[in-house]
Amino acid sequence: MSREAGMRREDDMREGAGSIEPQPNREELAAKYTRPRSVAVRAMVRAALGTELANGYTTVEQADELLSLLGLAPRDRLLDLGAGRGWPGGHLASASGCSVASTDLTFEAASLAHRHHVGAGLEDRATALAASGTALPFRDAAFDAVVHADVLC
Amino acid sequence: MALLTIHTPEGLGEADVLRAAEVGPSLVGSEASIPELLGLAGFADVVALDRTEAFARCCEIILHVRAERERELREEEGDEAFEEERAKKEALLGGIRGGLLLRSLFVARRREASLRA
Repeated sequence: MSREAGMRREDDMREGAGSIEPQPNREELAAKYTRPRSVAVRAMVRAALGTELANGYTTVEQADELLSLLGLAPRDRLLDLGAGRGWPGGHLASASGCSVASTDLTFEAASLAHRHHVGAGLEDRATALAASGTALPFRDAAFDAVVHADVLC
Repeated sequence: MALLTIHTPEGLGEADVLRAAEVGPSLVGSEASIPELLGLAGFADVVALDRTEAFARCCEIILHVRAERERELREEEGDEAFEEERAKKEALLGGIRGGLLLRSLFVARRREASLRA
């Protein structure tokens, strides 16, 4: 799947059920995913979470726990809401063989998630989209499982 | 559905909820609990697994590495931002150790039988 096909802007999405206040600051969120992580920050994330690919407070061990609890299998479709850099959905897809759609509020986060998915060899079964959790561009029952981690934190 | 989130303990007083929202994510001050919110969203059979200790350890490691790499991080972030981030993480850890903040893994099922999670 091409990068263009793998991502869509929220403007293209259908309207959803409304919004939750307070809204996150999109500019701050976008900047967080635009700046490359320095050597020091990568070391910190690796020490705290077990992999440089992670974000939030979800460790590799906890991601594996999510995998076990959801019982994901190769034909399953997983939605990772508020995925940031594509964590932990990319890890779950790699480990289980399932497909994953990673969503986050900003295009910058979705772009980074997509790069991580491609880097992990998931381009055939991973998508990254910029979308609000209150206006998801998916039909009902499109997924077998949903995961989100530290979305509002 | 499986989610990991930071939240406040049930029964916390109003002043402590405000304090939790100051030292933790501002949205932890929700009046509804996570199981209640999941119920409103159409999920049932909610199971909560406490992962607060791992959250605290994670914050401690972050603070430790930030101290180890202070020079690099000050150059990268600037002194003011560095101090601000250190203070935020120390306050967060204090909120966890003080019983204001929890982090849990919640697992729930959609009420409709056609979906597993």
